[in-house]
Amino acid sequence: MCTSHPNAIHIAVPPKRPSYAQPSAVPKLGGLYGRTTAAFVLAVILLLAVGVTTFWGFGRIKAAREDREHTVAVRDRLTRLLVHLQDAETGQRGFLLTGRDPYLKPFEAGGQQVRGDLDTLVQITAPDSDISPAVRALTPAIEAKLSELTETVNLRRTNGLSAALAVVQTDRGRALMDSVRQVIRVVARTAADRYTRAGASVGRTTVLVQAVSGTGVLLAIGFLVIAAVVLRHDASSRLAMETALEEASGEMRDLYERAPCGYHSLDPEGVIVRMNQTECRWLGYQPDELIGKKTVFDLLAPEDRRSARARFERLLAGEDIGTGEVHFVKKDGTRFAVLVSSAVARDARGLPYRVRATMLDQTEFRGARDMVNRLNASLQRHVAELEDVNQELERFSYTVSHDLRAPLRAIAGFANLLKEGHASQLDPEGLRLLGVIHANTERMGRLIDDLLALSRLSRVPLTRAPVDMTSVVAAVLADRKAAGSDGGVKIAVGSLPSVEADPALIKQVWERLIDNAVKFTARVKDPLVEIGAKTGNGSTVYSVRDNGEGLDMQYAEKVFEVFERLHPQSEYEGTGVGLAVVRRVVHRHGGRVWVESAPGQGATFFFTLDAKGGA
Amino acid sequence: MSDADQVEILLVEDSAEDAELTLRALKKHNLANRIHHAKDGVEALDFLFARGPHADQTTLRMLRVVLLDLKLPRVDGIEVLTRMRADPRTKLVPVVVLTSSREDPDISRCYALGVNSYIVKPVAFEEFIKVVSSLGLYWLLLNQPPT
Repeated sequence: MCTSHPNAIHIAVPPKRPSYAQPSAVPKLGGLYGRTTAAFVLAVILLLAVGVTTFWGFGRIKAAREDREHTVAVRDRLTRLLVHLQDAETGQRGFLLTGRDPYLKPFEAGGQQVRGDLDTLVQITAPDSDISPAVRALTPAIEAKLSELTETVNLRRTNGLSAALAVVQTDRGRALMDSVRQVIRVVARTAADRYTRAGASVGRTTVLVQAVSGTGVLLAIGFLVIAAVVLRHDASSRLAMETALEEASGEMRDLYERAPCGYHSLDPEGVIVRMNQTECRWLGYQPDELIGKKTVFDLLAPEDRRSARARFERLLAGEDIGTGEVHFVKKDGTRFAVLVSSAVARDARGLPYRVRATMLDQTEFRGARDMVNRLNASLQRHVAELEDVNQELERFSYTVSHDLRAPLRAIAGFANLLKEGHASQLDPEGLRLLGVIHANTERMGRLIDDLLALSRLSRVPLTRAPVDMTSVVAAVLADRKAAGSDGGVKIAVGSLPSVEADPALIKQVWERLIDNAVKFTARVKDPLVEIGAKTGNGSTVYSVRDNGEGLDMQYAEKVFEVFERLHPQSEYEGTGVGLAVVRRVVHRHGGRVWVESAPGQGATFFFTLDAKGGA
Repeated sequence: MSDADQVEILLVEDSAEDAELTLRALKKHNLANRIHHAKDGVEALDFLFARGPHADQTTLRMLRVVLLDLKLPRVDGIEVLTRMRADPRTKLVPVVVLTSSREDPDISRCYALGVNSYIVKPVAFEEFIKVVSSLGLYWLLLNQPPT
């Protein structure tokens, strides 16, 4: 957040809800709304379907009922028609038999009623395509019957009973009546069929409507339940998300307030609308002393105000002004420099409504940079000094070795010449003194050589290579044997693992340790030196054990110091440099060297060549 | 030096003591008869190139070896060696550098300049005598000169 910003960002108003830090555990709202809405819509569609089906079913049932009533009416009318026709026939029979007029009354009334019934029938069955043809066929049959009746009545009246009976006996009347009955039966059967069909239709439709409405309502309830569950879930998810959002915004607030850089937001006039704690602390103000009360320009050093306002205007105008440096004045009057970079937030019309700025405290930064520079400079000085010292040391070594050796050589040489050329003029004491001079020049020569070797150890670069310790030790022992300097000591060599080290330096370590062991076993019976190694924890500890003089452990560290000797020169020869050489070589390899001993018990020197080793 | 033509060994040594010891060592083996001792680089160069006091000298045909100390007043051993190797008259003359120190930073330079041997003078008298005598014997009696 503290690095450079793009200079102008365009944000629509209202700004989008920030999308940062939305935990993945919170499901998306869109999905929930979709599911709920789908459940509701399905429920509504189902209920609509149920309604439509029911409406349609009731219509169908009503139509079927009406149809049934209609067929009932048709049959009823047919029955009445037949009854009235029989009434007319009964009246005719009575009149034929008796010749009395009262029988004519039912005959005439019956005939009229039959005609009325027939008209009605024709009328009401007109729309019925299945019935109306049969009904229309009824008319001529009935007319034929009625005219047969009228004909016989008229014959009775004019020609007497026998004439009329003769007609009757032709069975024409019965045949006509049968044909009427036949037609009526057909019509009645058709009507009965329709009645049955309408009844069945009512039954089927009722079942359908029941099934559809029952299932639909159940499903609708199901979907409503689902919607309710989803809504419930939605509510708890929303709660979880609100918690997460709250947490995220709390986190953002903390990050904002406690960032190691200053943040503030300004309105287009430059009035401070927000400022983080860090910047408030830098300035020494409380937020409520600044927010809404001061412009950022009020806080600047006077000489910076004009240029800062100009930059602000350019920023609002959409220009890229990059990062700038300004000086703030704290509440206590002191000043400090900051690096500032700003961004403009714009509304949908592109008008700026906010300027947000990030500040880096230059004084802290500069302080650190200056510190680093100072440290670097001092480091460089020290390195240079070290190099000087090193060169000095090298010159010194050369001088020591050259200039000290020359006079030493002269002393030794001329003492010798004296001895050779003038021995006869010297008494035994004189000769002894010459011997002392001789011995000391030799010793000083060795001392100088050892010292130089020691200083060279610190200066030559270490070159590591695989070293076969067994053959190095064998070579050292062979040298000693050839020079006759092994003192007749028995030397036992165990198995020695190889190692990565500087071969020349490691050889010196073995030389010095073996010489040391041989030297200090000179006075014991059956002198024995054991050379070995032990490996553990991935590290090898090499050792040289002798059964010689031994040493007091309180001086154990001293033996590795230069010129530190635990024995007088007269007892044991030595320059006091050998073990110091050992320690320096071992240390340069990152290893450790130590001794374990007790007076008269012999001594064991241990060394490792890596940092891990050691007791 | 009327008999400069006969000189077989040129000893360039500023230390009188070292010179005396060297001469004695050589004398022990009867090798010091034809030796010339130069006390610094200038004297050595005068002798080698027949200048100054040696202007009358004609040839160095007998010169078998130059024993050269490096630390010399006025003109040092490196300079002498450089001039010798640059001149056709002395280019092939064997040069043995004698020095007191094995710490000498000029060892590798000497070899680069074509020195024939590099000897560290031992402190102990016996060893010193031994080294100098072997040197004399080697260069005077064993080594076949390049002529």
